[in-house]
Amino acid sequence: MKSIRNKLAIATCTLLSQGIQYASAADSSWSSDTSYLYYSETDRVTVHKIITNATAALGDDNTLSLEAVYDTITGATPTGAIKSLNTVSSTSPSSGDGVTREQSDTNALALFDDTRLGVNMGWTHQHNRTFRVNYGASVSVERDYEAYGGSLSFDKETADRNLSFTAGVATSYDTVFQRSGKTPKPLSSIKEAKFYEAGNKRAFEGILGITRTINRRTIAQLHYTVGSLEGYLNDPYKLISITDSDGREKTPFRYYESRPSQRLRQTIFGALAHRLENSDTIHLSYRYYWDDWDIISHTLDYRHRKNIASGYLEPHLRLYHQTAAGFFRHSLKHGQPLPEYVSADYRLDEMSSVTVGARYGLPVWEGTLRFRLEYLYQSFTEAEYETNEALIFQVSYKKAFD
Amino acid sequence: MNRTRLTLTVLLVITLQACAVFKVEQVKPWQKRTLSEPAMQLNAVTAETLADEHIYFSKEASTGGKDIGGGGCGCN
Repeated sequence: MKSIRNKLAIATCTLLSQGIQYASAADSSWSSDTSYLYYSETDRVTVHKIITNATAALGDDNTLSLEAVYDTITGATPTGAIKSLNTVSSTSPSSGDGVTREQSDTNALALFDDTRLGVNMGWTHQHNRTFRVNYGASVSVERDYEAYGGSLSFDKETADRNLSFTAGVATSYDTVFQRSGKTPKPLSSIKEAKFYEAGNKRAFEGILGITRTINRRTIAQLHYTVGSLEGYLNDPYKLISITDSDGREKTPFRYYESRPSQRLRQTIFGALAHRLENSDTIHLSYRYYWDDWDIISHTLDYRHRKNIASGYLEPHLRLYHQTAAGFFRHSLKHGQPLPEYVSADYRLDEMSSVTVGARYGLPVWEGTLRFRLEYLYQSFTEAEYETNEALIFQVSYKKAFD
Repeated sequence: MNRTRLTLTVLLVITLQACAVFKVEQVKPWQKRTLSEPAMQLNAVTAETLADEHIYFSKEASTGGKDIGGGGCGCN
């Protein structure tokens, strides 16, 4: 009798859970999410970005997604060189061809502009009720960078669907170059630089994950990822200054940076979503990152969604801290031998960062219109520019179609 | 490396504490209405998450964790 009761219970659960799955597939055969992003740093980079994503359910077992991203990037970025009171000649990403030209202002910033077009494709196939395979491919092209990638991952759920396991691999092949199509010889003076052909970079990544239903209001996730990079890992525009004992640039005053040709990165990522008693929803995540360039970082992210009338307001706080790469230097002293690896790229310095803002979503024309406004503040320990501030504004619209 | 081990130990302790705070229970299929809502999805890919990945990939030395794959860039 008990056996029959158990079998009936299992059958009921199976029918109910399949019913939920089929209902969601039938509810919306495809959906689109389109967005415009404005990102502006104080006196530095401005980005206009358009993102459009379309996802289509093909029957009950297949989902296709296509996503296109178009960026225009203009403004000024730190080269890594120190500020100088004198106008000097330098290579800039705007010419990008190694031809010397005069730069204005403090010449520690280089004017540049670029456009980027990226396309990502995804295909998810539900092999059976508890096993899913995800295929992905991506292409990204800029005037001085190309990237081609692919990924394959598997999701396996337990019979009661309270526990899910993820495993996957990804690879990419990138080509890096200045606008001229060439890359500078690492640690060569900008006045006597030798140039090589475009640099290539290969990346391999792996992920293992587990997602667990904690209770009817809480779900949690834990990921481990590992990534290996090898090849040309320099930024072909970044420089480092040679200074005298007073901190002023000495001739030959600037060299191209030099980074190791390998990098092993690892992360542990935990995330949790919880519905509070008052119907608010919180999302909390933490990432611990470490690599063999001596960079360790902590990232804490908190979102709190509160329903307001028919829409919602979602304040957001993100805290970040990283240690410096072992080969990061503000500048090099004149007369000392050049190290094998050195970079003054501010992104490799010790850094603390905070992002604060909010998102507001409301139903419009049977879809969801979202506005996001955030402020990003970065503080560096040794880099030539001590801080960076940015304003992030994004408007998005998502709609599902039968 | 010692710092990495210490951090991983602290993470393990925090995880165990979190399990104690959030009462673990077996959830039946008909009790998953809240968990199935869009606001509760942990892996939702939205225009905001895509934009954030690009911003922080461009401005910080560390990246990844949520997922793998996707296009790179030579961002400044």
